[in-house]
Amino acid sequence: MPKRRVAIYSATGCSACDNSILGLHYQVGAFTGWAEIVFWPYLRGDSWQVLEDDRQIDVCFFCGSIATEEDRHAALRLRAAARVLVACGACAAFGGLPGLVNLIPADPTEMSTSSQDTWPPLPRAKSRVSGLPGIVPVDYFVPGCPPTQPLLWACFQALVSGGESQIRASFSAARLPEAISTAVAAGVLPPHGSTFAGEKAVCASCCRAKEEKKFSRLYRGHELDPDAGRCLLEQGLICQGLATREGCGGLCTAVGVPCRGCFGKAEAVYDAGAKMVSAISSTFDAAEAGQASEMAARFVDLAGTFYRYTLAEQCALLAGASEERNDAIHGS
Amino acid sequence: MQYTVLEPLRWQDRPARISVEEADGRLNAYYQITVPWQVSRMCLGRPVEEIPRILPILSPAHHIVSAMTLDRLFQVEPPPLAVNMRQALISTQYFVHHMRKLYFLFCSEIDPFREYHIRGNDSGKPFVSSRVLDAMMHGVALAEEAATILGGRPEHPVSVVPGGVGRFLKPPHYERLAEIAEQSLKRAMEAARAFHERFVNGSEISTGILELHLEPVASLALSRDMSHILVTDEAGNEKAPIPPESVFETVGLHFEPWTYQPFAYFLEKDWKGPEEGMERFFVVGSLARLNTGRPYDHSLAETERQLLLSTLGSPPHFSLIAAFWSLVTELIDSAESMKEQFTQEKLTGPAIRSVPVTMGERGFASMESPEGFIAHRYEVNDQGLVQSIQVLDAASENNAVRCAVARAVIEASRSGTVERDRTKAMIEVSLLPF
Repeated sequence: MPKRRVAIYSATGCSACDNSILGLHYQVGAFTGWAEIVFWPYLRGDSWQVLEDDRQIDVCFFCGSIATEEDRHAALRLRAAARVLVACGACAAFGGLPGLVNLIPADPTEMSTSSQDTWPPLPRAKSRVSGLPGIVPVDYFVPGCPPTQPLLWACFQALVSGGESQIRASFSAARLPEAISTAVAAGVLPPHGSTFAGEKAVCASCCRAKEEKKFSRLYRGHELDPDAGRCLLEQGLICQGLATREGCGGLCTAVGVPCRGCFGKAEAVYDAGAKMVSAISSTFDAAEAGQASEMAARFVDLAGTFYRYTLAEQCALLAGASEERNDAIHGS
Repeated sequence: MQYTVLEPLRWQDRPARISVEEADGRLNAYYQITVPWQVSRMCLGRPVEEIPRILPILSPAHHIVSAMTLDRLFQVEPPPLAVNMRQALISTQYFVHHMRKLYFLFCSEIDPFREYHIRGNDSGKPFVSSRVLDAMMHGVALAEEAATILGGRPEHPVSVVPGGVGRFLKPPHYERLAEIAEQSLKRAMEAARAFHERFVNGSEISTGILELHLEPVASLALSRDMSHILVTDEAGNEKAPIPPESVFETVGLHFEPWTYQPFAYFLEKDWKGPEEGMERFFVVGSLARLNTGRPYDHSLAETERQLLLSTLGSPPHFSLIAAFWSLVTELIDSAESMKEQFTQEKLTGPAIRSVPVTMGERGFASMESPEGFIAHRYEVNDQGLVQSIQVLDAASENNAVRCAVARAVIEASRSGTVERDRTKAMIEVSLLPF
């Protein structure tokens, strides 16, 4: 059976996702026996000329957010060339941390502003950063900042090896939804649109004990040294875990800091911000309305906290937002 | 006018390309970062205690310096255990960063994803054996495991908080860390041997792809006790040290219209681009630390540094060989640091954090990251939301050097009619240490 042709591309982002995939190769053995990396500019310096070949890419892992016109063209080009397109990492899946810039207008003094009339030109920065789904249809998602090794490996097993690899038992299968883990084991493609992560919220895999979610005071992250082993939200810290898709194994809460949602919203959640507002307000231990108001007044930067990684693609209030609409709002 | 574009460039943290224009014998080469990286906009309006969760997007070390900035803002001192854990995390970051750079160097003339049995360069002879390459990346994996234990996540750590760190370690953690430290030192020495076999044979240097010499430039690095910033000029003479908290008044950032990466430069001189001379610019990172004459406390690293100096001469150095050899030296030092730090004695204690009870209006901190000197300064309002933020990162500080490197390689290739792919590979390798 011919080897699967794999592409890995990074748009606007750091190199963490590329290095996670690179590390995967060496940690779990060479997958070059059943896959051919044909396009990986970060590691191999491949130019777009590779895609002029009329043979399609079988699987493309697209990392990074869409912040320039060049990123947008790359997304369109790879969508056309790839049979399967995977949004790899929080930036590609939801916009990631770069998506936070959508909250405030650009400061011209902080940006290079070349035009196509000057040389050398720069790719034009879009006024609104988006994730890959904002530009093209995406077949699969591997969330995280960066994605964890087990889930990346499960994704490679499912989409690239296609049953050819002898190492198909993924130790992450227990955390994957049944449909995906069954597909991985059977060597067939999972259902279209699947996310390589859990279906439940982070709370399901967080190591901390959950008792009764009631608190009478909100604490900012620096104001409390939380009890080890006890739910952070119950101690008054804003933890995004109950609205965030599991799959990381609760990496952040395990080291004593709240979840900030890099795996995107959980399957059953319509909007992470709405979920957090309703969940937290239902935990207020307040006998009077005034007390509840005082507690609510301590919340700051709700948008930047509840949509830290997902503002561009998973904020229901901004659904349908376009670059033109963003320009109209910020007057640019 | 003739235009040429060399892209994509391998191993860049952000997408980059070289654009060259030639006319009437005159050549201009532009190193362009082609994506915007608006970290200020990501941080403005955020609760200041969240900044250590956002700025690791620049590099993992920014997580630690951000927490140090908050220590100052909140006027807290981390307890000794937290200081030790932070130092241990920094050592893993040095190891991962430098080992990966050396891996890229050793892979520069081969495709690392060709099948094992045919992997090698066009001559058929492996540049460095597959076994060594795999061992180096296994070393990276082990160091990342250590970074996960200490920091929560390897690439974007989360556990360093204002006043300390987020959790105690348990016996299985420091037992595992001690195993990792042993293995890391072996991997570091193996990488050093491979570097020597390829490039250093006794007192003879085989530069190969590393034949470039940079135009002399000032070097900047933080002193070991972090009390002042050391600056040596292009001749190696020490200039007046800079108090770290004055760095933003000493170093400015300038944007050119053809790149999204600003240039850091000494404000005492008016702005001119690197094509008009390097006197207002400086280099940071391992080469700068070598040039500012920082001896090592660890014996194997200091032995390697002395070998470097006896082979290449006294600093300052502006050769690629020196730049990569300084990475090797620091790789060994980081592994020895891990051996020293990954002990039960260093990683246990009664307290992991000091909870702040007050908040100032501004905070500043700086450190030597693997990439070079970095600094943060924040101002907050009475709600503790970020009103202004200044970040000095190594990419901005080395931007002028990168431009100079690209221009030098292009000029050298023109004189010798080097073909395009070879020129691109030489640029990529020459940019790696910076």
